[in-house]
Amino acid sequence: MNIPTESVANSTVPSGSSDQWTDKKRYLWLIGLVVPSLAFLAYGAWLATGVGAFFWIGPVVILVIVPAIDLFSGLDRSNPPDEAIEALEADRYYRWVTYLFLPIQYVGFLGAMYLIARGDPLGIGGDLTTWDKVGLALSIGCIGGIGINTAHELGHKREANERWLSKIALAQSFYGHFYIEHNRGHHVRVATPEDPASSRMGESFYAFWPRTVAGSLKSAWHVEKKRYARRDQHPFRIGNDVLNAWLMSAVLFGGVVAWLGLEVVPYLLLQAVIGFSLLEVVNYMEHYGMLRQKVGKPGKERYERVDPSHSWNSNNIATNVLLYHLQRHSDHHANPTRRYQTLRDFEESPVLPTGYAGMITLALFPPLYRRVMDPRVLAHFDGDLTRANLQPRKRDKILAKYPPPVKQTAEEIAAEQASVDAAAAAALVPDEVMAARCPGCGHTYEVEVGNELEGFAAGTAWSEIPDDWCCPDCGVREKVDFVPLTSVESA
Amino acid sequence: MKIEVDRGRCEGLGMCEAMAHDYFEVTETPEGDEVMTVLDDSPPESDRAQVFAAVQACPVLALTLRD
Repeated sequence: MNIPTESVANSTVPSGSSDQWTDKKRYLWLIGLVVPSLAFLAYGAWLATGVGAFFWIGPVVILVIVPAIDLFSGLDRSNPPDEAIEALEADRYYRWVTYLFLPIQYVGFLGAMYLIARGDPLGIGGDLTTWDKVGLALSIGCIGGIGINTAHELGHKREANERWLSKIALAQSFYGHFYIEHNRGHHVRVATPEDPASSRMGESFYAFWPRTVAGSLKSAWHVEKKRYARRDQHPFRIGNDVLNAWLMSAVLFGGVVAWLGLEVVPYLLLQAVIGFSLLEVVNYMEHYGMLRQKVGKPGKERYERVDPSHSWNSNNIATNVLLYHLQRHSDHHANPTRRYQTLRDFEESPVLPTGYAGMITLALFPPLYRRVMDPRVLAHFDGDLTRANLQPRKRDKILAKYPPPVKQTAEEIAAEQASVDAAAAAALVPDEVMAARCPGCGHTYEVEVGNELEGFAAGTAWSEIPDDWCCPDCGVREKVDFVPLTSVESA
Repeated sequence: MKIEVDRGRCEGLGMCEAMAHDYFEVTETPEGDEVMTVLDDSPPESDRAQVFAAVQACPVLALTLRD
């Protein structure tokens, strides 16, 4: 199958020079394996020093250390050039980086449960105090939560073995239904009020948590039940992906309890809850307040297609490397099967003020989170929050605080449009527009090159392109939506 | 270019419709089932990008694009 060439927004490398292009993040992705290794680091540090506080390493790294690194290490907005994408996708090295997460995750998980139940297997460190055990369970839970992110990357792939690995990674957090709900529920309904995994403006993480946990469960079961109902079959069978994923967790948890005794049960539950809560707090920030508008004829309305403006992105390099580019979330939703190493940053996507890790810390303090995020949602919708996904209970209060712009009369709109057009014309002399980029797919029209297929000879000025011309790549955005550029390089 | 649908897999989730509504439409039957119809299974070359996006977006891998 031919893969259509897409132009890439924000490429750092000029087209045609990909022979020299190398992926600067290639070996940085190995840092992702530091996360499951934290369990061993904690154990080692405890053995060496006898300080039980080391067992709290997981929450400390995620809530304090990574956010701090994000603040200092800056942004990475680099995108691979078009020509390199196919080879980058096919490079198996990147897959193995994600596969390797799993054995480290599970050896750490089983080792931690042993430590909790029986104390140090080497007989050097002795038994753990209750606080040490709680800390260790939290750390293991954090690793399981980041493991859900690895599962997320694997679960989107077309290869059956990767989909299986995804379910295995989810077993530790008893969240196997996520794989179903995420792909067939969340991706379909993202940024709509019906989606349990898209948070609403005004909704705190603590209000979102029960809604998303219960909603995801219901959605996953519903999706699988429906799949069998189509064939007139009942859903209680092993092929049901919700049931077989849960069975995996049940066998894992049952095995651990049979091996180590009932004493581990509270810690098993604690780490599972921490694991999926960590996933849900990330879900919480990814689409906060975002709303797809309804389009189509009355009676046949549907939600508009997902575009870069429906997800919050971040380019802070520390969390991005730890979470396999999950933060390039707009591209992920536009191209769900695209592998992490090729996900791109789009200039027009809304951007979080810091990395995901820092935002997790903020989300735990709702007033602080809302103070940071609500003005950004407001700015994203140009002051009109009637277009945002609002928490129904707080709708009136939010709209009273941030009243939508007053609807203007047709003449006023026309007058304003005329002045905007005049200002735009004054600001950009038509001759200065050397190229223009589609905000939807990143396709770039270059004046120098023209577009023979579309009937524009090389050198056809941007001002000569008809107003009703539509982007030839995505077929969605029209000329007026394009972002004029003064140089081809800035494309 | 031809759109092929694996009917055994399609669940009428509607991602394809959201990506390329000129080619896919999901309607609800009186029994509450969502059914996807391909409006035109031979899109012109000029629409390749949006049809390809729809094929890629299918969560249950029910769509294929043949040349």
